[in-house]
Amino acid sequence: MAEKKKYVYFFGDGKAEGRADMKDLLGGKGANLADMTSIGLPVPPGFTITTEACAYWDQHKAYPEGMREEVIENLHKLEKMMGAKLGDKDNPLLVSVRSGAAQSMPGMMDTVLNLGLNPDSLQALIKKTGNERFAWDSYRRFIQMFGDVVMGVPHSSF
Amino acid sequence: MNDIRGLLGTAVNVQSMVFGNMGETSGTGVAFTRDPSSGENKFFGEYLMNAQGEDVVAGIRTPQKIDTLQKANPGVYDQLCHIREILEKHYHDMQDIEFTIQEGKLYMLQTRNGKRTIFAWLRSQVEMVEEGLIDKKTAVSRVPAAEFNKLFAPILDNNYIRDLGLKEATHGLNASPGGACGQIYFTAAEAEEAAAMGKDVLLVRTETSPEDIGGMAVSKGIVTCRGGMTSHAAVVARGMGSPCVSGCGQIHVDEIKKTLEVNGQLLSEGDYMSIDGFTGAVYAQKIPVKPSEIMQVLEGTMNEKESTLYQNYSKFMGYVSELKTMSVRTNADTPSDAHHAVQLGAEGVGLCRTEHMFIGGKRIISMRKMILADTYGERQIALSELLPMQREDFIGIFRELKGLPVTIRLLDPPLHEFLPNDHTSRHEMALQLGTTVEAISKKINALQEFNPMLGFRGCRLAIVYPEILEMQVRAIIEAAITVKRQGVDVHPEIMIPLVGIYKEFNFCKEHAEAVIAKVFDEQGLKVEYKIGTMVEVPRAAITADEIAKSAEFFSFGTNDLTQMTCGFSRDDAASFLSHYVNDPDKQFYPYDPFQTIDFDGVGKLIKMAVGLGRGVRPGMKMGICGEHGGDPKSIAFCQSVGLDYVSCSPFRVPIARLAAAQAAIAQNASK
Repeated sequence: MAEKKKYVYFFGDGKAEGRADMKDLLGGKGANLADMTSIGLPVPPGFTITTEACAYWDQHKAYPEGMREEVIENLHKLEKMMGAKLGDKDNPLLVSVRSGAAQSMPGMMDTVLNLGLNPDSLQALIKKTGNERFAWDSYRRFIQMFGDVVMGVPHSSF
Repeated sequence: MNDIRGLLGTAVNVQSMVFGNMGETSGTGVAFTRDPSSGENKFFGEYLMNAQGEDVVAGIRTPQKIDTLQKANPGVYDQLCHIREILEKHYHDMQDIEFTIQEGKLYMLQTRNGKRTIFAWLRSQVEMVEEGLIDKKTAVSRVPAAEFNKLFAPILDNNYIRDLGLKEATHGLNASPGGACGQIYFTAAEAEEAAAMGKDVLLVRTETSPEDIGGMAVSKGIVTCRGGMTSHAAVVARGMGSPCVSGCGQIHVDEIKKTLEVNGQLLSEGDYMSIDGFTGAVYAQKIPVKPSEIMQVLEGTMNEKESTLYQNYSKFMGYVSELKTMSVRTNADTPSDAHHAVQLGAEGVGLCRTEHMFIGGKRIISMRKMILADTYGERQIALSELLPMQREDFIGIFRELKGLPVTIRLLDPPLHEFLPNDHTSRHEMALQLGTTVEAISKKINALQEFNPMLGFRGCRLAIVYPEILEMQVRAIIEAAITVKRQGVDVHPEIMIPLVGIYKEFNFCKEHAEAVIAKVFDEQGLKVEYKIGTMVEVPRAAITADEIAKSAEFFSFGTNDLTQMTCGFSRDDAASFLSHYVNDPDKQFYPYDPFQTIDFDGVGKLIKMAVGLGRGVRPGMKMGICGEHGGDPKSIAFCQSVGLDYVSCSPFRVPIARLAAAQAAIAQNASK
C-alpha cells in the first residue's frame, strides 16, 4: 500500500517539517514560514494544511481521509508548545488562519485573526492580560472578520 | 493580468496569535528590504502601533514610516534590520515582510519576494550583482520582460516646473513612479467615460477599492487622499505601471459636487492636475510630460552622469548582451526608425519594407504611373523616376546601420493598395497623370481582387513585372556602393517575399543577380550581399530544402505564416478568435496565435523548415520578422529552434533583447 499522504506540516521552535521549495504544496506563505522557522527567525508556531487537501475538497466536497485527525494532532502539538488550549476558559490559545496560494495574489486571500475567542475565553483573556480594551478589540475584530470571510456579512453592517 | 493559469489549491496556515493591539508597545507593520518604488538599498516600510494585521494594508489609518521606529523602539528596530540582512542573504532577493510587535517583542509573520516597479527591479538587481549577492544570470532571468517598456515611460518636465516657478499644490507618497498629467475625475466610471472620449484622465479618489480597477486602468495617473505605499491604489498602480501618488491628506474630494479642495484651492471635474510618482509631488495645473531619462540620455539631451536610471539600464543591458545568443534586429522602414532602434540596441534590420517608399509626395505619382502603364516602355519611364528616391532611402538606412546587416524586402503588397478609392482622388490622379478618370477606374477594377492577401502580391509581382524587381535591386546595390565609397561598411540582404515554390525564388534570384553584375560593372566596385527569402507560405516551409539550395537565408514572416497555416484571416479573426483563446471552456489556443506563435502548429512548420534548410545549407542564417519577434514567449520558442535572430519594432528592441537573454539562460539550464 502506498504511504499515507501527509496533509499537515508543522513549524515552530526552530524546527519545521516544510521547506522553502514546497511552495506548490504549502503555498508561498506556508513554505516561507517553515523556512524562516528553520533559519531561526522568531516565527509564531503553527501548521500548514496543504494545497492538496484544498484540491481534494474542490473535487470531492469532503476532506481527505485522515486529514481531520492530522489537524487535531497538530493542534494538540501547538497547544502543548504554547501551553494553552483552543477555546479553554482559563488559558485559551488564539490562532490566526490565513490562506496562501502557490502564486502570491495580494489582497485576494482570506484571513481570520483571533480565532479561539468566545464569551468564555474572552473573560480568560481579560484576566490573563489585565487589558480589557485589548481583549474586547480582539474579540470585535474576530467577529467582524469571521462574519465577513466565513459567513459573508459585509463590513458595512458592523 | 498576471497570466495565472492552472491554479493549484490554496494552503491554509494556522498559527498561534501574536498581538499588535496590546497597547502602545505593540504594533504591526509591513516592510520591504529595499525601496519597492526606486529599488534603492534602503530599508523601507510602514507600521502602526496598537494595531493588528489588516490595518496597515487596508489604508484605514495612514501608517508611520519605518525610520521612526528607530526612535520609538530601538531594540525592535535593530532586530528588524538584522532580520532584513539575514533574509536578503538567505533568499538572494528583495523581500516583502510582515511583522508584529507584541509588548516590545518582534515576530515575523511572512516573507516573500517583493513586488516592485520595473525601476526597482532594474536597480535592485544591478546593485545585488555589484554587492556580490547574485550573479548576472540570476539578475537577468528575474527582471520581467513584459514590463520592461515602462522604463521608457514619460516623466514630468522638471525644467518647465522650475522655469515657471510652479509650486506643489500638495505632497503625498511616491507610490508608483512616472509623470502624469490629465483632467481630474472622481469616480472610476467617470474616468472611464472621459478616457473613452479621448481625454487624458487623472483619477482622484479618497481611497480606491477593487471595483475601481477599470477606471484605474484607463487613467494616466492615480491620486488618493488616504492610504500608504502598500494601499490598494499603490499596489495596483505599480502593477499597471501607472504613476500614483497616495495618501494626499490635504486633498478633500467631494464626489457629489464633483470638486476637490486642496490647501484652499478649489478644483472641479475636468480641471488639470499633474503628479510626479517619483517624488509624490502633486500640482494643480497642466505640466508637460517628457521622455524618460533613458531616452533623454540616448538622444543626447541629458548627461548620463545625471541619471541613475540610465546608468543601471546601461549596466543591465551589458549583462543582457553577455548572456544572449540570438541577435535582435528591428523592423524599420525609414532612417529615423533605424536610428532609434540602433540606439536601443538593435543589431541589424530584419525587415525593411519598401512599400512605404512609394507613398507620399511625388513618389505616389510615379508609382501610380508605373501601375497604370500599359507597355514595358511606359513602366520603365515610371520606374526610372522611382529609382533615385529608393536609392536615397537605402543610403539613409545603410548609414544609420554602420555595417550591421539590413534585410530589405522587395515590393510585397498588391498594387491596388497604391490606387485611390474615391472619385475626387481619382479625378486628381487623372489630372496629375494626364489621363482620364475612366481609364483609371478601369485599371482599378481590373486589379480588384476577392482575396487580396492571397492574390497578386509578393514575388508574383516580380515574376509578372521583373522590371520592378530590377529597379529595386539596382537601388539597393547602388546605395550600398555609394555608402561603401564613403567609408561605411554595408551588408544588404535582399529578401524575396511570398515564395511558395523554389522556381519562383530562382527566377527572382537570376534577375537580381543579372542586375547586380551589371551595377558592379558600371560602378567598378563590388559589395557583399545575400539573397534569401521570406518563409510565409506553408508550402515554402514544407519544401524548405528545395528553396535552400539557392536561398542564402530564411526570414520567417510569422504573420502571414500564421494566417495561412491556421486559416485565420488576420482582418476577420476578431469575431471568433477571442472565443478560441479567452473562453475558459474552450481555450483551443492557449494564446492569440497572432501575438504568441502557435507552437504546436505554426511552430512545428518553422522547426521543420529550419531543419530542412540547414540540412541543405549548414549554418544557414534564419530569423523571424513577424509581430512575434517582440513577444517574450515567442522569442523563447525562436531560441529553442535555433534561429539566429528575431526582428521587432524599434520600441520593443530592449524587451526582445532581455527576452532573448532569458531564453538563452533557460535553455542552458534545461540542458
